[in-house]
Formats: sequence, structure tokens, C-alpha cells
Amino acid sequence: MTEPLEQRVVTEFPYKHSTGEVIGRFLAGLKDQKRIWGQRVAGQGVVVPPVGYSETDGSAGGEWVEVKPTGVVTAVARVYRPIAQLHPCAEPFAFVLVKLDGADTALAHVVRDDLERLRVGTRVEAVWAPDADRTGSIRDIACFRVIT
Amino acid sequence: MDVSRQAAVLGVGQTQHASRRADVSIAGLVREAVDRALLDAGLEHRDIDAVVVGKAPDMLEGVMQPEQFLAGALGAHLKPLIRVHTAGSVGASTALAAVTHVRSGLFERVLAVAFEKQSEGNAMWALSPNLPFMQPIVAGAGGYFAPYVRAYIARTKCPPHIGPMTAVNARENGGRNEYAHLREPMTLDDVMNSPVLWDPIRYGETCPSSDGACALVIGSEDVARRTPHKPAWIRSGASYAEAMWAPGRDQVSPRAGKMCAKAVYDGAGIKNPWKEIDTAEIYVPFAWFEAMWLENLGFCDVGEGWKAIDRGEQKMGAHLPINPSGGVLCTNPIGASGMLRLGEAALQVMGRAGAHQVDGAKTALGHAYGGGSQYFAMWVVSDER
Repeated sequence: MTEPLEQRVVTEFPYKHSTGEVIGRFLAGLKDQKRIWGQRVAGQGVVVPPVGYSETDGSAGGEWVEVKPTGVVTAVARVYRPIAQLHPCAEPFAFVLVKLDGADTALAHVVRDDLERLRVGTRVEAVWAPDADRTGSIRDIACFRVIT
Repeated sequence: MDVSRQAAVLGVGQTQHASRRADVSIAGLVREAVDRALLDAGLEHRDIDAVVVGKAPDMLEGVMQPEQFLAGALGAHLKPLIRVHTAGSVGASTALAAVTHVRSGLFERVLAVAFEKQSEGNAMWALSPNLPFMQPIVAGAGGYFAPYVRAYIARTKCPPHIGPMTAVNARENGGRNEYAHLREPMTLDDVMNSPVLWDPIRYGETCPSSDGACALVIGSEDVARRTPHKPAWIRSGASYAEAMWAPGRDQVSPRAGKMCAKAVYDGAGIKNPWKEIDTAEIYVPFAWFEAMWLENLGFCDVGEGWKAIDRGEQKMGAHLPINPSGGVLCTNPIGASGMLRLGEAALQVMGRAGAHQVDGAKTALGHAYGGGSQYFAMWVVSDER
């Protein structure tokens, strides 16, 4: 008996998401100002990126607070063999959570260099994408780099 | 489960519906409805015991498992949270799941939320699943349902002006609903002269694509007796499904729809829905379905649904106003559309439907269907227990 056949399926569609006034303002800050904004939220302190509400009690977000582009790594996952088209970098990199100076929550991003030195507690800073390449996306911060 | 336990609608909230709500993210859209429902019920997030959220397929917005990232926005942190999905009827199924939560005796106040942000993707694409053994048919709902509309017309000798009449009446009603997406009046000629999209369904007989959300607070009898507004008592609720390819299916008048209607009428002690129900919000995405559902829901005998419409008995001020809100033909955020039907039925018996209030409405039906006429979900609400 022959083996059952396989069928390859590609599912693809170009979506367009409204970012709304909170995430939209955060993204505009990255694109236009190279500044990182958070929002003070009940029960959570300064949340970066801000979402406009408290994750803990559903209340609305409060005042806008600018945070520093530097911070401390709170989690590390190194990827030695990235998967093409799936991972954000072609070369070995690390997913990190970064608690920026002035923020009370951590931001998910990537570190490309100094992977062996990277630890929980390592200080890092944002590396901005060139002006022409910033589109209003979290990747307007190209990556974080270890501060020596 | 003590199924004799009563449940009631304490609060109703909905967004401003539009073709594109570019001013809000999905979370912002949902919170607009939730904030209004909580305010309406005189409650805050901390008063809510559990949250039920529903929407149509995730492919519509391309955001997988939205219930996960929306948990905080919904105020569901450290509370039971479940996601419901039954295609176009999901908003109604979500409300019924909240009712079951309350009637189980485990929860006093449950928040039910349903939404769709159609502008972020394309429904026609999202609703055409790429199954490995089938020719993908990117026909959209109109292409799917048109043959059944034609079958209804052939079976009942329904004349060609019934669809346009229904569409005109829906817009007239939608004009009185401040939240409706389409509110501009249309004439019979406008509809008749609009292009045929899927024979016999014309553009003017077709629902819009909307961004919108709806939220309901469902509470126990104890809570309902202390609520700031008169609650809508849920006399009965039911949902039935039928298999897509079951032999002998009649998609002009599906058996699951008839069973569901009988279950809600029996549950509410209704013997003659035409006489005992004052108004109904029914899911009419294409105008011809109003006549079809009048028969399927037992309001009219077979072949009599279009005649009731021809006589104008579905209009405001007439015997059985259908879709006083303008219904799906004026507003269609798919996942929320079923909850809007149930919520609008509740507003009618609460006496708080504003400019589209049906005078003296005491008992109302809310109805939704979904998939290939596969899923049915309904409730009957009254101003008294």
C-alpha cells in the first residue's frame, strides 16, 4: 500500500492593527523621538511598554513617564542556532527581559553580542535603528547591548 | 446544578460601531464596551467573579488566543476566564455561558464580553479555512448563503421586493440607534438599484463589516434585586448545533434552529411566540434571512414569513418589531453581533433602549446563528421573573 500523501499549505495574510492611543504613543516615541515612554499604573508602578490598563485590577492607566534607554537584564534565553525566517536574528543571539531604569516592569527584546557575558543582572542599553529604518515598531530599538 | 436558580442581565455596554475604529486597539475597543457595561450595572471590576470572552475565528484579526493577552484588559486577573467560539453566533453563546456560570450557583456576577475588529483583516479570507482535502472556496458568507436564499424564494414564492423592504426597514431602525454603524436611510429604489453581489443578494441587502464590542453583566437573583436599574430576567436560554455535512440538512430552515427555538419557548413557558413575544432581535446578515428566520423561529408558518414582512408587521409600532436596533444589517462586528442581539433584547425589556425602544416591551427574544447555519443560540428575557 502507498503511504498517504502530504499536502503543503502556506497560510498568509497582511493584517493591519490599530495600535490605539497608548501603544500608539509609545511606538511614536520610539520612531520620532528615540525616547521610551511608560505609564504609571495602579498596582504595577511604571509599565513599559504601556498598555493603558492595569493587568492586576483592570483600572485605567495613569500619567506618562519617560524611562531611560538603559536597564538591567532580568531573564536570558540564548539561541545558538537560530531558525531562518522564524527568529529575529540570523546569527546567535539571546532573548532577554530588560527592566529599564525608571520602569517597574521588564521589556522583551534581543541581545546580539557578548552572549557569554550576558547574565541576569547584566546592564544593557538600547541600540537604535537608523532614522530611515524606524517605522513605529518595537524593533525601532534594533537590539540591546551589554554596557562594559 | 440548581437549574432553578435565576439569572438576570444587570448591565449592557456596547461601543460606537464603525467600519474602522482606528482610534483604539483591540484591548481599547473591548474596554470601551466593558467600562459601559460595568457603569450600567453600577459595578466595578473587583465585583466581577468570572469573565467569559468570545469572538469569531482568530484569523479575522490575525491575533491568536486574544483571550490570553486580553485577560488584564478584561479585569480577569486571578479570576476564572474562559474563551468561547461558535462562529457568528459566538456573542450569544458567550452570554449563555455566562448565564450557566451564574445558574450553577458558583458565581454571583459574571462579565460576558464579545468583540470583532473586522478592519484589521479580511473576513472573506479568514472564514475560508484551508483544509487539506477540500477546494478552498473564498466565497464569503454571501456566496455561501445565496443558494439557500434562492431556495427559500423558490419554496415559498417570496416576491423580489421582500429583501429590499427588509433592508429599508433595518436602516430606518438603525437611524434611531446611536451606536449603529450604518444609519443613513435607504429607499426601496436604492436597494433595488444596488449591485447584485451574490444572486439574489444585493449590496443593499448585505451587512457591513464593523469594528465593535459588546459586554453584559449577568447576575444572580440576589444581586439583580439590588441593581440600580430594573434588570432583564433571563427566562430561558439554549444553544444547538448541527453537523455541516449531515445528510438531509435543510439550511433554509435548519432543524437545530427549530429545536433551539422550541427549547427557549418551553423554558420560558411560551406557547405562541407570535402572541407572547413583544419584540425580537434576530441575526439577519442578509435581508432575506428575516423572512426565513420568522418561519424557522416559529413566529410564522412555512411560507408566511415574507407575508408578515409584506404586511409590515415587523416594523416599529407594528405587531412584532424585529431588530429595533437596526440589527446585523446596520452593524456587524461578527463576534459581537450575537451578543448585541441578546443585549438589545435585554435593553428592550429593561425599558432602556432609548430612541429605538418598543413601547411596553415585556418579553423579547434574542437570537444568533453561525457557521453554515450550524450553530444557534437564543434567549428569552422579560421585565419580570
